[in-house]
Amino acid sequence: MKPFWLTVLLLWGYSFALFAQNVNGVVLDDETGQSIPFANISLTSGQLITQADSLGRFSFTGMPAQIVCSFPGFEPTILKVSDTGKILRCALRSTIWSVDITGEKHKFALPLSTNTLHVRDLVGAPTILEADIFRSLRLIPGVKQSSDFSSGLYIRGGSPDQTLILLDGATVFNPSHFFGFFSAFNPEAISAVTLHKGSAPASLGGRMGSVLSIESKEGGKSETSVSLGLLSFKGSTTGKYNRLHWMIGGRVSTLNPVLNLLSDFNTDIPEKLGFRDLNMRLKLAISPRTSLHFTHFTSEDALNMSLLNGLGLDLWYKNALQVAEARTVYQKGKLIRLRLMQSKYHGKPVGTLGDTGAKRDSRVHEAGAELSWTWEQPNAAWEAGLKTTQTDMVWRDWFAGIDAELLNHSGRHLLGYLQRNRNFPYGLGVQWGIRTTRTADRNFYSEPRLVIQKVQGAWQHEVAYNHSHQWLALVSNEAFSGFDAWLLLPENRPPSTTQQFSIGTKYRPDKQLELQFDAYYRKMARIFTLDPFLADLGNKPYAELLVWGEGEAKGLEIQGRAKANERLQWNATYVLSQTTRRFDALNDGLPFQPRYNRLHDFTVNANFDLSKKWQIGAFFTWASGQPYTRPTGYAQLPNPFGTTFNNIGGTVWFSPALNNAALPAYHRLDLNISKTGLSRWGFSKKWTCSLFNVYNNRNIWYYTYDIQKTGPERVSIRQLPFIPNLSFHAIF
Amino acid sequence: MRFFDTILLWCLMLGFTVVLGCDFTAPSETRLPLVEAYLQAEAPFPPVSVRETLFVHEAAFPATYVPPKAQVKIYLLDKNGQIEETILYALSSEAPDSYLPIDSLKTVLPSRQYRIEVRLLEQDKMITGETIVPDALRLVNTNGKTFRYEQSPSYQATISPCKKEQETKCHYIFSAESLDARKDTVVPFWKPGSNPFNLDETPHVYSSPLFNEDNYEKDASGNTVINMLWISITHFGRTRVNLHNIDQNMVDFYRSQSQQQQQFGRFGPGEMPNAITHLVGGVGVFGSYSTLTNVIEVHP
Repeated sequence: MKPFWLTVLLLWGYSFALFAQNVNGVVLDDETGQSIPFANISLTSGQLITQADSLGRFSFTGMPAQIVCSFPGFEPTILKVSDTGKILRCALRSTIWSVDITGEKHKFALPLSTNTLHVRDLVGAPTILEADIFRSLRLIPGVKQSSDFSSGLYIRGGSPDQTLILLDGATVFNPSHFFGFFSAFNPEAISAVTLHKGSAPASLGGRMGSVLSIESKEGGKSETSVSLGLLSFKGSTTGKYNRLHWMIGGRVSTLNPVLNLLSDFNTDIPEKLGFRDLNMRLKLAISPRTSLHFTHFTSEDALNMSLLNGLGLDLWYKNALQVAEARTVYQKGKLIRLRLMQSKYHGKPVGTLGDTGAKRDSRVHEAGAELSWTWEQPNAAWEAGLKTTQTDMVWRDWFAGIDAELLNHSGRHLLGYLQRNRNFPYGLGVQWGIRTTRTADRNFYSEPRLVIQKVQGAWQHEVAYNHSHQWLALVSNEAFSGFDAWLLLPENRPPSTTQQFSIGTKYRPDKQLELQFDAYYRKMARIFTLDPFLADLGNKPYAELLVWGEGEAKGLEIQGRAKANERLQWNATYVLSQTTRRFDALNDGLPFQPRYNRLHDFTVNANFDLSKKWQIGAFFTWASGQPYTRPTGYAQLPNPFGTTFNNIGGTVWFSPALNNAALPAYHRLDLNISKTGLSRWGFSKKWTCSLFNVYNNRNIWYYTYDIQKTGPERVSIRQLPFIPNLSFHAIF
Repeated sequence: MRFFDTILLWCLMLGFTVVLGCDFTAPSETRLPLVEAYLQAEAPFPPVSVRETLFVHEAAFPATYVPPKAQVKIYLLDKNGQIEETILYALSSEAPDSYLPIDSLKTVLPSRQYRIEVRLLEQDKMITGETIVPDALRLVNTNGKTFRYEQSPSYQATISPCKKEQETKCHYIFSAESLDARKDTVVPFWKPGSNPFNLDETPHVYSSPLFNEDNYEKDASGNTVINMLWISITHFGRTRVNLHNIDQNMVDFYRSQSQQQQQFGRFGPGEMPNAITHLVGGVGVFGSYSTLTNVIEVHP
């Protein structure tokens, strides 16, 4: 009997060992080589085994003969599992606009001015203190930030309000934390980011410039990750219950305990400086073809600071949005989507000085509904939709006991869009679209869009044109977003408008190398903003508070991406660009270069896997100095009514033109080193050491002028020094 | 196209774009002729300062340059813009850039238009500007003469309706001048060392920013009710409270000049717009105002 039982035990043990073996793999986009986060891994019977993590990696215990890797927008791929020692590579082919013409596989490639980034690209790049989506977008040519202190996006010569920022389809009005320092989006809760620098599909619009579309992580896989850094504690958890997939992510700043400690020694330390945000995404699969989705997002920032003798600051702002969406595929390739959304922004900065003070109350509420229809045919696609939105804006200022309501307006829009993507023989592809908006004053505004592509071998050539309108404007300071307030176009005025032409080419001989060249020209008209010289805002007619102007932007963008081997990847960009603005009320009505203009902009980013556990990343940037106003003379013209603390009278500066000079060139090197591994308690862990501005180059932010006895003294206000950071990330 | 040809093409394009992108050149410093004069309604004609802007590396005091010699005239214009009267000026013996009216008793008329003409004799340059003097305001009533510091309500003045001289709002600047300014009369807010402006010495005059008339409530007769802010009181004792109704030139000058070095203002850091001067041929201010004055007393 003993040999029998021994044999049974051995066989049982062998089978246990066999089934207990770990199968490891990664899901990749066959076209780009980029990982596909949260792809489904299932048996051929359809039973879900697991889901890939945010880096596209998956692991499970067992030994099925075959697995199926799938992800929306990609063709499912069946993979044989024969050798558990090897890391499986599941390469998925995109089905978006995928067509089969003359026996060859053709595809309507993404327009050259559209970049899709997965979370791995965004969080892997070195940045200050912690991973930030907006700061990582700097890797895309044409995307600039105004300073180390700001994460505001200046894309192709457009100001931040010209970029529409969407989270799961709803607008986010103040997408920043720490009053502009970081973006409000928790990378732990985001799956992918798509940036349309131009040539956005007809379904997207309402702004003159770009569209940044951010997608929340979808739940499904049971996973919890937490991360602790010097700036924040953040985490997310995903899972599913029956047909309900859920994701909850949150972030809270970790500075307050430190500030509380420091405030005992220094009265200039804020009593409160913090932020928090919450992301939630639910998906209910009613049937294989129909699903309901719900997104909730809030972000909140606060600063409280008391200074000497009644001088105090109390700043606060909050975003909140909800999106509910129903999708159904009613026939093969035909999708109907109904989306309801609302988004709110509320900013309330308060400053007190003795018995006087200033307070602002700025609110935006946008609500809308959208019904869209998509039909993907073998060789083409249609997309059409109807959307209605209502935007309510309120802006009230109190100053010295005086209550001024600048704005209390609503804008209602009804719009329809239609887009056609069509591939023709010989690699020719055409994407055209039209978006027409009917405003509350019964005017119609149309925005045509066109992309023509020629894909031939390793080459993709493209010409594109798009026309966009904008009905609102942001009043902000690039150094500080805590006073941000929005303006709505006055009634019976035509909207601001942009026409953008671009031409580009991409050369991609293989998966290891990609070179891209884009040239663009943008013409902006009827730009409006708050009159920067308004003495006070007191109860003047709204239209009188605004100034109108025009602008122009042109540039050449060059990007090279290469994968030297499995361990080293790099990305380099060079941009030559120029943007100008012209307002009758500014600079004697002559064109000037705004602060965010940068003639040359060069970046290089490299990632190297030192070993299976150690990775190193480097980011270097060099850019022309930003424009600033260099005075060529000054005079003392004292206030004839006495001493003042409101900049009335005193030193007056003169210069030939606004922003007539350039700061010294900006350059900086960031590094990060990370180590991944498995903890003794079974969870994945990652230590990251980030070194911002490694060689401590104190780039100049701006100059200010102090009056000394010997004359004015130019003082350089510098940007951030070398800042190290250590963070810990765990995935359960 | 072979790979190396492609690389060569890209390098050429890169080189071409770099060559194309030439950066700024540094602007050179220049002196601009500067005129400064503020006409007060119903007051004698003020001195006119004629000088030049300073280079950025120069000290303002003592001036290291010689002001240009000038011929200064102010004209009173009629409704058609024709010269009705000429006020002649002569160089002051006390300051090399100051010109005084020859007739020191002549006063500025409210609601009238004046033109200044400054001819720089050695440079053959002319600087001109015009102003419409705001109408003199009248005090209708007040809520008292004596006040306890920080009491509510504070000093309230009801003033006659502002007569618009141009198609714009009336703008006010308030100032409070302490007539009993001593170290022992400083109010708590303005104590040296603990005031929010970090001033070592308490000013005896405080001036407000600009306010437009629509910020204030009006009564049935169109009179405007204005509250004094306690922040403007620097000392206990007697204080002269002034309400200045300023002309459009001063409004434009101050509203633009105040944005020049505000890091968190409506311009980005380092962006410094020029002040709006409304002078032709030079810079500076040729402005006018009317003033309404009352004296109140503040006790601890």
